[in-house]
Amino acid sequence: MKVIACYSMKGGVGKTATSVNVAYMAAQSGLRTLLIDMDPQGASSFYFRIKPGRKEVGKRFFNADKALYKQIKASDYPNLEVVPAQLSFRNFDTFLSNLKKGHNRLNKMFKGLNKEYDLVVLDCPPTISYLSEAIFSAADFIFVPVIPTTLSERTYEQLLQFFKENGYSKKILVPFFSMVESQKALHKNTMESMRRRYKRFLRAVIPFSIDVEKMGEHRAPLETFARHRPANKAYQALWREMYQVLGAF
Amino acid sequence: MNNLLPGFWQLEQQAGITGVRQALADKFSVEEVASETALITVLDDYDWDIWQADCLLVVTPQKKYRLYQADKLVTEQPCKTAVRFWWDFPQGELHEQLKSLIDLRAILPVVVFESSRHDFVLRNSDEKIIARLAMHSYAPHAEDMQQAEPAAGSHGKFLVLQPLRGYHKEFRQAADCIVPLCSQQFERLSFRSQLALCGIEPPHTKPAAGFDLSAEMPTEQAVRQMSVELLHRARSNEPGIIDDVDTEFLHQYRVNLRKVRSLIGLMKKAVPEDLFLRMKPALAELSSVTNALRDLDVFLLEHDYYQNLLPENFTVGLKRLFKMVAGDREKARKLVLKSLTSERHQVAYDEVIGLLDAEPLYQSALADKPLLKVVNKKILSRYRRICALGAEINDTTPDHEVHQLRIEGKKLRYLMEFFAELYPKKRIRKLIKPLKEMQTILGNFNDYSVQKKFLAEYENSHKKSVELSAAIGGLVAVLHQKQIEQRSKVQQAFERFGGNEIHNEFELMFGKVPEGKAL
Repeated sequence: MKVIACYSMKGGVGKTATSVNVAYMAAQSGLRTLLIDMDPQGASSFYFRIKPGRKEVGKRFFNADKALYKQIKASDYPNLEVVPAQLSFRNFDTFLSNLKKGHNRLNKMFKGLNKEYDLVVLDCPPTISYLSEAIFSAADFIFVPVIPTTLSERTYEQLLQFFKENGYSKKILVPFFSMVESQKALHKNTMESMRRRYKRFLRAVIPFSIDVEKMGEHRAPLETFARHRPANKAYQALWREMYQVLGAF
Repeated sequence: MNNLLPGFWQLEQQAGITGVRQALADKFSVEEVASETALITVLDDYDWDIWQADCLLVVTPQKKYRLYQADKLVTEQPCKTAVRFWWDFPQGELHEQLKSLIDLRAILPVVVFESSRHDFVLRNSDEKIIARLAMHSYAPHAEDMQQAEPAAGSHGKFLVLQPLRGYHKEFRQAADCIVPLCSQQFERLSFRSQLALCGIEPPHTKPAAGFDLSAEMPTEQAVRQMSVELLHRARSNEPGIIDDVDTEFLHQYRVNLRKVRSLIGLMKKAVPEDLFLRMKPALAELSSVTNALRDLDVFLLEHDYYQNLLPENFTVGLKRLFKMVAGDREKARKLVLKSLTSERHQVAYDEVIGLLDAEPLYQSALADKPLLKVVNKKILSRYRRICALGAEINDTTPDHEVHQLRIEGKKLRYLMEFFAELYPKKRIRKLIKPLKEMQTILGNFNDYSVQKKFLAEYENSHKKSVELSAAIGGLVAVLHQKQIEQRSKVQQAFERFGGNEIHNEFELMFGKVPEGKAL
C-alpha cells in the first residue's frame, strides 16, 4: 500500500480537485483506493456527496484506527472509498500534539489499512501543524500543487525550508503546477524559473479551468462529466506521472 | 475494501418493477442504470450431473458458455463451433471442469428460459448512491424445448440488494420497503438456486444405488425384485442409444444387463432352476446384439491415447484405422438401432420381465432363506476362494489364471455392491475400496488383452494397406509392453487385499453372527 498526500500551506491552490480526480483515476485503473478527507472544510467529501462524519476520530487514542475504520464510506464508483471530513480532525491535531511521537501515530493508523487498499490519498488542510507533520512522516510522497505566482513560489520555498529544519526528506516532495493561466506572462515566467531551480517539478500542468470549478455543481470527478476537456486530460497526464513516481505497488 | 453481503428476496408473483420502485420512492430516488434480457439455455447431460454437482452450465445466444459453481461464475468460454462433449471445447478451464463433471456424457439443452436483469441505484437526498438493487426475472421459453422430457419451470422474480459501506442504516430502510412485496428472504441465492425456485429441476433422478432390501426378506423375492429394477435401469437407456446421444447410454445399458445376468448366476440357488436356464440365453441375446458396437466405441474413445502411443510416422496409418473403425461403428450402430426398435426386441424384453416380475415360487434351496444370511455366506466363500487363488499367483503364473482371479474378483465386487445396503455404509466401503484397487490392475491387464485381440481380429477381417498394418502392428506391440508392465503389478495388487487386516474384517463382517447380536 502506498500513501500519498496532496498538500500545500496555501489554500485555494487545487489540492482538493487534485485529490478527488487522482483518487478517482487510481480507482478506475484498478487500484483499491481510499481517499481521506483531512480538511475540516470537507470539500472532497462534498464532491463525492458524502456527509461529514459525526463521530470523533482523534479523541480516543487507543481506538483511533478502529474509529477511522468505522468512518469509511463507499463512493459511487468501484474501487473507491472515502473517509469524509471530520470536524474533529481539528481535535486530532491537539491530540497529536499531546502525544510523544505523535506523528508516528498516523503511520500506525494507516498500517491497519494495508490489506484492504493499494493506495491511500490524503487531502490535507492548508496549515503547518502537528497533523501535517504527522502526514509528512506517514506519506510515501507529498504532491504539492503550486500556482506559478511570486507568492506561491515563496510558500514553496518556505515548505522546503521547513522540511530542512525539521529533518524531513525533501525527496518525498513532488511539486507540480496548478491553476495555470498560460496566457499570463507572469505564470509563464515563474514556471520557467521555478523549473530551472527545482528539477522535481512534474511535467503535467493543470490549467485554470471552469470545468474544475464545475465539479462543485456536478459533485463528481471531472472524468464523469468533462472527460474530453483539457483539464481532465491534464489530470490524466498528472496521474500517469504520479504513478511513475510511486513505482511498483 | 471488503465486499458486504447482499440481501436476497423472491418477489411475490404479482409484484413487478413498478411496485418495487413505488415502494422505495418514499425514502430514496431510484434510477435504472442498466438492463438486459437474454435467452439462456441451460445445458446438462442426461443425468443432470452438472446440476447435481451444484453447478450450472448455460449458453447464451451469442454462444458464450458460462459455468457457475455455487455462487460464482467459474469461467466463460465463447465457442462458435458445435459442442457436444467436453473435448469439443478448446483447452482451458471449461474443458477441464466439464471433463470431471460429465466424463463421457453428451451435453444437451435441458431448459430454455428468458432471463432479464434490471439494475437500479438508490440515492439519498444528496443524490449519493446508498445501495444497489438488481432484479432478476426468469420465464420458461416453451418453444425452444428440444428435449424429450422437458424440465418443468415457472416464472420467478428475485431481488438482490447490495449494501454499500458506511450506509447500513439506509440498507435496512430499503430492505424494509421491499419486504412487504416479497414472499421469501434468503441469505444466499445463487443463479442455480434461483432457477430451482422457478421449478427447474432434473426430470429424473440418477438411479439410486439401493434396491429397497431388508435383511429378513426371502432371498428369491430379493433377487426377482432386484433383477426387475436392473432391467428397467437398462431399458431407460434405450432412447439415448437410439438417438446416439453419447456412448454412455449403451455402456450403462450393457452394464445393467450384465448385472442382472451376474446376479441371477450368483444367486442361482435362490431362483427356480427353470427360470435360471431360461434367463441365461435370453439375457445374453439382449446384450450380444450390442457387443460389436461397444467394442468399436471403446476403441474410438481411446483415440488420443492411441495417438500418443505411437511415433509420428504412424499417423497416416492410424488415421486410416480410425476412419475405418468409425465407418464400421456407423454400420454397427444401424444394426443396434434396427434391433432395439424391432418388435422382436420388445417381445424378448416383455418375456424376460414377465418371468422375473412374479411371485416367488420357493422351489430352490435358498429361495425362502433370509437374504442377509445367504449373502453373508456367499460373500465370505467368494472372498476365501479369491484368497486361495491369489495366494497361488506369482510372476510366472499363466495368464488364464490371472484372468480367473479377475473374474472371481468381479463376482465378489458385484455381490458386495448389490447388497451393500444391508451393511453399515462405512465398513462395506472400506472393503470395496481395496477390492476395486486390485480389480483396476487386473482389469487393465485384461483390457490390454482385449485391445490386442480387437486389433488382431480387425486386421484379419479388413483389407490391409502397408500403413494400416504398420499402425496396427505398432499398437499391438506397445500394448503388449504395457501389459507386461501391468503384469508385474498383479502379485502386489493381491497382497493387500488378501492381507491379514482385510481378511479379519471379512470374517468379522460376514462370518457367523451370534443370535441377537447386531453387526
